[in-house]
Amino acid sequence: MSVLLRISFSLSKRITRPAIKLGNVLALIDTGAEIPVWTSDFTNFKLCFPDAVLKIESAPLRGFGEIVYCPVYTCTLKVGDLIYYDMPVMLYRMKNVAYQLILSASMFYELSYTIDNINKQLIIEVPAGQSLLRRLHIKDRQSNMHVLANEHIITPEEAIWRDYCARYNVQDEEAEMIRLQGIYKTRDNSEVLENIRHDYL
Amino acid sequence: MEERLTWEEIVKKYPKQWVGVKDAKFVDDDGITIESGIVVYAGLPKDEITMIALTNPDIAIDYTDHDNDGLILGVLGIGFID
Repeated sequence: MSVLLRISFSLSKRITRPAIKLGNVLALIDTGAEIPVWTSDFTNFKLCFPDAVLKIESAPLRGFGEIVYCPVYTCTLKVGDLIYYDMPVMLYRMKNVAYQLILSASMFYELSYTIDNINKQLIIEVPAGQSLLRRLHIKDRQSNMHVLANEHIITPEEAIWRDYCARYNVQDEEAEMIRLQGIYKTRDNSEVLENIRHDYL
Repeated sequence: MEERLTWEEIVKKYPKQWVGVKDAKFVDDDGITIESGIVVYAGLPKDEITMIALTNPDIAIDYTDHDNDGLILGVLGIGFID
């Protein structure tokens, strides 16, 4: 496999389960999980993911002994150089779990990932031809919800724009583009994107 | 006086709780496995220590007893079984 990018994270050497540091909190890699779960409170969730938007008020989550119902938000989630935008994350507060975030196997769909428990590394490889921008969807199929892991290939221009909007928490993309057109004195969006890649990213 | 402790000393002094450590030294500089540091927060609830970590990147947090999380089967899923 030809590799576009290899990303590695240190795994905790004290925790038997694979845990990495993400945004100064602990994230457990749960290879049996379908959807990421934030396990601290909502205030901290918004601190960590300021662009989070409520998508589903109450969705069933199984895996904690019984089905529990909790909200699903979408947000921009960064795992190293991988950027998941409109990423569904469930909020389920668990005081007795020593991780703030559970990362799901679905996030690594169509990627190669290795949990190296000898060298204590999580190694993610992005195959050539794929994007660093990823997208997962939640779909309701016949009244049942599923996470669909889509490897989402987008243009380099869209990648620049997505990265910029996520980085600067842009709420109104159209208004922001018009503002940037004014700054760079052009109506050509490609020129704007080339400029923001140079100036901001 | 601020006292630098090894992780083993931290675990002994602050068992089964979240701690926030400043000037942390990490095993092999891995950025996650605290080797030693100065404990500035201890015994706080998870949500409080999480907020400290999110608002202060100089504080490293960890729980001092990962061995007793219980045996957890990682099968988190959304929706019902068909």
